[in-house]
Amino acid sequence: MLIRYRTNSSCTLQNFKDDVNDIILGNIATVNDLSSGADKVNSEMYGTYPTGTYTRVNATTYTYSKLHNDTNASKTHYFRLSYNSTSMANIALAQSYTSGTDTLVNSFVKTVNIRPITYETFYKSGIDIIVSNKMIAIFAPQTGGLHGILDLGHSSTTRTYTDSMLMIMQDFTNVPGIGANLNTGGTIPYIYNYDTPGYATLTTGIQGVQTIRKAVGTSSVVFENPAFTASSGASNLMYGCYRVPYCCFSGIQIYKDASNLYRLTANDISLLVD
Amino acid sequence: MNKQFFQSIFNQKMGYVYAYKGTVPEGESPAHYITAQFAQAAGSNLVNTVVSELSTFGITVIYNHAEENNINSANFELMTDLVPDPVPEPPVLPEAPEPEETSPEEPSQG
Repeated sequence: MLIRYRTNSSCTLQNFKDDVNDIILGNIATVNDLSSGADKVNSEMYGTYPTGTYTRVNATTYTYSKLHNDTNASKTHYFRLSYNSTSMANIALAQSYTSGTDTLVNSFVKTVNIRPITYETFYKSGIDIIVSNKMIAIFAPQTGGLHGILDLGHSSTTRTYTDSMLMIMQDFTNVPGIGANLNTGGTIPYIYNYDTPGYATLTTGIQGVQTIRKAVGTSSVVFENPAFTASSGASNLMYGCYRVPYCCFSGIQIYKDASNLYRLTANDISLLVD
Repeated sequence: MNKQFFQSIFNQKMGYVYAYKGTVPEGESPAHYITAQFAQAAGSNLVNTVVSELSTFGITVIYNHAEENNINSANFELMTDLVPDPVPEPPVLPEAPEPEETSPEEPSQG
C-alpha cells in the first residue's frame, strides 16, 4: 500500500503522529480516514494493506514489530519512530525487543527530522509512505529525505548465523549512479561478520545489474532488475527493490509494472507498493 | 583492539563502546540481558545499542549510540569512543630565507 500523504496548513504534530500510526497499522481504508491535518483532496492511496504484518508493541512509544514477508524466514524485527516537539526526529531498526522494559535490542538509529509541510500544487509537496509486507518506506523529499526499512533475503552467512537480521535500513538518496556517495546508505544493525569475527553492524549499499529502457512499437518497456545489498560479505536480496534505467523517471513518480502492480520510483530505484 | 577496530565492526563514527564485566544468568539471552542492564545503567529504555561477543578476544562489548558518555556502572567499562581523532595539522616548515638582492650587472658593450 502506498499513501501519498499530503497535509494542510493546520496539520499538527499529533495529527502527523496519528496519521503515520494509522497508516502503519492499516486503519486507513480511504484517504477520508486521515486526520483533519491531512489534505484529503490531494492525498492518494494505492494498493492494499498487508494484514498481519505490522503490530504496535507499545502503547506509549511508537514501536512496531514487522513480520518478514517470507514465512520460511520466520523473522520478526522491530522499528521505532521517535518524535521531538516538531518532527519525526529519528527512526530506529532493531533485531529484537524486550516488551517488559520497552527496550530495543541490537538497534541502529538514524536521524531523519521528517515533518509535515503544507501541500503546494506546483511542488506536489508531501510524504509518500509505503507499507507493504516487504518494507516500510517514508519518502519526504522536502524535509527528511528518502528512507526505507526493507526485508532481506537469506545469504549463506545469515543461514549459518541465524541471529543475523533480515532487514536493512536504506537511505535512498544514495543509490547506484546517483548522488555523492554511491553504493552506500544501507545499514544492517546486527549481522554476523566474518572479519570481526562476530555479530556486529554492517554498512552496505545497493547493487544491481544496470538495466535499460527499450522501445517497443510506439511505447517502451522499463526493465526492472532486482537489487541486492552490496558489502564485502555475502549479498542479500532487497525484497521489493529494483534498479531501473538511469534517469528513466524524474523526481518521485509512480507507475504500473507488467503485473499491473504499482511502483514508486526515486533515484533510479523502483519500490513495489504491494 | 583500538578505536579503529571498533569503528570498523560497528561502522559508526560516534558513540561509545563498553566492555561488559558482569555475568549473564544461565538460560538468558546475552543480548537481551546485557541490553536491559545497560538501559538500567543509562536510566532510559530509549537506548540504541548493539551487543557483540568477540570470541577471539574472549570479551563481550556493547556499543551505545550516544553523544555523551553518561554510564557509571561497574558492569560497563568504557573502552573507547568512536569519534574520529582530529587530523593533525601539517607541521609548519620554517620559511626559507629570501635570496639577497644583488644589483644587476650592467651589460658590457664591446
